[in-house]
Formats: sequence, structure tokens, C-alpha cells
Amino acid sequence: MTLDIETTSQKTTLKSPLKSWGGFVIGMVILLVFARMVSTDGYYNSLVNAGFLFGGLAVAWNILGGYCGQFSFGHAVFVGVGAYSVALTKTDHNWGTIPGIILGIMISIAVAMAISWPLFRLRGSFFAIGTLAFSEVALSLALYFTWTHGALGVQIPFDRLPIVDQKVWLLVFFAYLVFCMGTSLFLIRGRLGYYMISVRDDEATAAASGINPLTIKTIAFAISAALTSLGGSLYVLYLGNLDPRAFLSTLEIGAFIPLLALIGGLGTLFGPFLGALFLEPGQTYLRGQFAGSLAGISQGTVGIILILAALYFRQGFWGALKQFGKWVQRIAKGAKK
Amino acid sequence: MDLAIVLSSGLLIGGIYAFIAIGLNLIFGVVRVANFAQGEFVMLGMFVTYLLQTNFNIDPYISAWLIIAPLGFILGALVYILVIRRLLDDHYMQMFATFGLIFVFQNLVLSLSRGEAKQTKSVVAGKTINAFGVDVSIPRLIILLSAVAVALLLIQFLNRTIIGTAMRAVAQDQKTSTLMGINANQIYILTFGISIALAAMAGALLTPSYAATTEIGFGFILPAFAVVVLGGLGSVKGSLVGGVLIGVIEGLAGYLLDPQLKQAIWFTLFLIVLVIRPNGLFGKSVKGGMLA
Repeated sequence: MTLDIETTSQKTTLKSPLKSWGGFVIGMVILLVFARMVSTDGYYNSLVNAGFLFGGLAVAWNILGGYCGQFSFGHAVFVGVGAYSVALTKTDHNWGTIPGIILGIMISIAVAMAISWPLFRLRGSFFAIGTLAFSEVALSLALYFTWTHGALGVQIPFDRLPIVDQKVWLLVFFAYLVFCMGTSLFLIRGRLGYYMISVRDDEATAAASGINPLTIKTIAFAISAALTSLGGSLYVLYLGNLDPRAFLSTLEIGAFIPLLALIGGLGTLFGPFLGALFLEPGQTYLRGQFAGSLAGISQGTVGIILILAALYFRQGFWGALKQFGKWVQRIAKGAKK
Repeated sequence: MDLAIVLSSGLLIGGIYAFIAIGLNLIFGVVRVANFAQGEFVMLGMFVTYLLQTNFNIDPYISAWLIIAPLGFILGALVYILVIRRLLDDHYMQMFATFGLIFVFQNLVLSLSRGEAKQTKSVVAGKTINAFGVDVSIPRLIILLSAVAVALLLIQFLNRTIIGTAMRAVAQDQKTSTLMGINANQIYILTFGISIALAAMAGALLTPSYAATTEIGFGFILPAFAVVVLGGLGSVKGSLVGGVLIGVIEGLAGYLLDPQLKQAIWFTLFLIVLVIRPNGLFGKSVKGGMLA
């Protein structure tokens, strides 16, 4: 049940310049400038948008999966709840955007807390299977009911979309990413983050030290679900079209978000976002390049990267970067002597 | 009368679930790996059976036993040696790696088949026999009977042979069995081989009644996990009974409520069982994980 990353992530929770609010703000500003420079036309702009959105989603998942050690393959449910809340209230009930988003977040928190009790009785693989089953139930219910528009999904009329400019969306998704990472940073700098990590690394010891593991897991799940729901709401407003099979897809959302976090570095602040920044635009790019010739190459590549990451690269990009940094430091020390 | 039709069709679907679940449960019970990619081997089995029929004109029912099962064994052993063996210590990475396998196999087949659905021909395809006034599809009946046959053979193998006993020993306590001189690594290779061979065989037997698509395998994985949970971890008998049970529940739920809701109903049931009886309806303790 122990994670391979525990030793490194224990260190990352200690004071380091990247874990301070000042370092965080500087990093984010550099990122925004870089993103604006890269987004020279609509295509690259959309790649950056997707990278930021999925980066935020991966960071949100990481709060439960990385810090608290509970691997959920069912986060597509919360993407779906967020998306449906906004899309349905907008098209059928004439609500504004913000109330719809808030409704989605509240439903997501309620759902997360309600299913915490049964699901957190399950450990390891069984928890993952349970979340997978939960996600499938959500999909079949969304397809069944008429008030969700069944298999047709929801189309938001173009004039009801609050933002249509790609460049503005870049700022919105950037703000979403900053909000998710800020929440993560706030958590791991505080008491709750330490509780979460202690529950992940050794639940029995944590319980013996007076921490209630179920409470901590439930809180982490609720925060993670709320942030994911916000991302789902933004995603449907960006696309303008809610296809239930895409939004509630186990493979394309539910399993894809955790793998972004894994490839970037589980249980780290920047890792999940880094994973998304490389993989999500990379995947879209590959899909575009091989669209006519080799269908499936983009996702097939994702699969190979995933297996290789699980085999040789469990610390992810972030772990590799840190090792590289240490190596540079050692070389520099050697040169001084 | 209607009820008899519903029950018989549920029973036949249950045969499919049971067949796939037996292999999944073997890996889960012995190697302790939740193989989310099990369904993809069913899908691969279907496509290879199709290729064998179109290129060499081999009947699916012959290739299932003579070609698909051995190929599946080799593929399973390879997957274990190349991927799973290095991840035995880490359940989370196992899950990620099996999801990686799903992406790889699905998209490999997608790019080769160009997304077309494939179906094999067989003399019995579409034929039914009339049993007690109910029409029973022959291809599906063959799957149900094969599942029962495979389960019986496997139980005999696990109980009567020395290798089977070794497999049960490793499933029960890997460390102690290693101290007793059992090579756990070889047992794991064997388990993966048998399990994936069963999955591929199930795929081959499915081809006359189901069209092979790239997504079909993933559709089977959750019913199969539900069967494993219902039947108990590592229990072959439990998988058979659990499979039939899930099939009948699915049929009844579809008949009494709404066919679209059948999934939601047995998933909910599955969640309830998972929470109330994590060892399955017929399972003993998870730690014991007794086979057969």
C-alpha cells in the first residue's frame, strides 16, 4: 500500500523556495508570459487551453490521488456534474453562468461526501474498481433520464456562451490552473496536507496519532471533487456542447486525468500540471498529424508512455527534473573543489 | 413464458461474464493484480479469430481451442514477464500499467482494423434450438457450456495436480510457499498464461454471436469485476455462479424496469456487495484467497 514516492514527497512538503507563495507567483507569471508567446494562432492557442484545463484537472485529482493516496478512476463523474449543472441550467432554466457553476460545485461536494462512506471502506485496487463502477453508473443514468437529454447531450446555444474568444479562454483556464495549484499549495503548507500525507503513507499510524483517516480522506475527496467540477463547467462552456459519452468517459477522462498526474509526478505540486502540459497538447498534435493515416496513434502512444512511466519513471517528469537538479549541484560542487 | 425467455437469455449472458471472470479472478487471486486490461485480450482474441477465418478459413470453434488459447498463453506470459513482474510490489503502478495496456491494444487494433466491426461466420451462427419451449441461441449456449467445462477443468487442475496445488499455495501465502521451495515467479507466469488464454478463448467463442469492435473488451471488464467481487476473490466456482447471477440479474432488471437501467442496477448491487461483503458472497477471507 505504500507509494514509491513517499520519500521524495516528504521532502517536498518541507520548506523549499518552490513551495513558498513568492516562488509560486513568480513561476505562474513566467508561465503566463510563455503561454501568451506560444499562442500565436488559434491552433496553438487551443493546445495551450487544453493543457491548462487538463493541468488544473490533474492537479485537482492529485489532491486525492497523490497527497491522500486514494486512486480514483471516477473523477469523470465530477467533470460530468460540473458540465451538466452549467449546461442544463443555462439551456433549460435560463440561469446565469456563475450560479450554474456554484450549483455544480455544491452537488459535487455532496456526491463526494455521500459516496465517501461506502467507497473509503475499500482499499487499493478495490477502491479503484469501486470508483470505476461509480463512473459507469453515472454514465448510464445520464443516458437514461430525459431531463439530462439522454444520449443526445446538451447543446448550449452560441449566444448563451459567456466567452467565445480563444485568447480570453486562455486567461480563464490559466486562472483555473492557478486556483487549483494555489489550493494544493495552501493544503500542503498547512496542517491538513500533512494529515493527508500521513494517511497515505501509513493509515494505521496516522489513526494512532489521533487523525481520523476517513474524515481526512472525505475532506480531500470533497476538495478534489469541487475543483474537478469547476473544471468540468469551464470545459462545457468552452466546447459549447455536452456529449455524455465524452464527458463521462472512463478512458478519456476518468483514467486519463490520473495518468497525466502519474507522468508528471504523483504527490508533487508541479508534477501533475507538467504532465498535462506535455501530454495533452502532445496528444492533440499527434492526432492532427496522423489523422488520415494512422488512427489511434496518439492514444496508443499515450498507452506506451503510461506503461514506461509505471516501469521506469515512477517519479514522473518532476522527479526526473529534481534528480537532474541534484546531479547539476553535485557537478558544480565537484568543480569548486 | 416471457420470464422463461428473460431467464434463459440472462443465463446465457451470464455464461459470457463467467468465462471472462474466471481468467480475471485467477490473476486477481493468485498474482494479486487487478488486471483492467483483461477485456482487451478478449477483444484481441476476437480479431485474431476473424483473421484466421478470413485468411485460412479456420472455423472459430476449432481455432479457439487449437490456436487462440496457445497464442493467448504466450501473450499472457509475455505481458507478465515484460510488464507486471517488475511491478509486483506496487499496486498503484500495476493499475496504471494495465490501463496503459488498454490504450495500447485498443489503439493498435483500431489502426489495423480502421475501426470496422468484424464478425466470423459459422454453421451455428444465428441458429437456435428449442428447449422447453424457449428458443436458445446455439453460439451462446456453447459459450455457457464451455465456461462450465473450463471451470470444471480448472478446479480439477487446481485440486488434483501438483502444479495446481502450488498455485493455491502461492495464492494463500506467497512468502511461505517460496520458503517451501515453490518458484512463485514461474507460478505467476503460468497463471498469467492460463488466464489470458482463457480471455482470448472467450473472445474466439464470442465471434459468431458478437461483432468484434475495439471497444468491446472494455465493456466486459466491469461486469467481470462485478462477478469476481460477487463470487469471491480467487474462487473459480464463485466466478461461475457469480457470472450466471449477474447475467440473470441483468436480464431481470432489463425486463422488470428498463433495459437501459440494467447496468446501473447491477453496478449498484456490485457496490453494495463490495462494501458489505468485500470477500464476495461465497468467498472466505481475502487474505486466505482460497482457490476453487
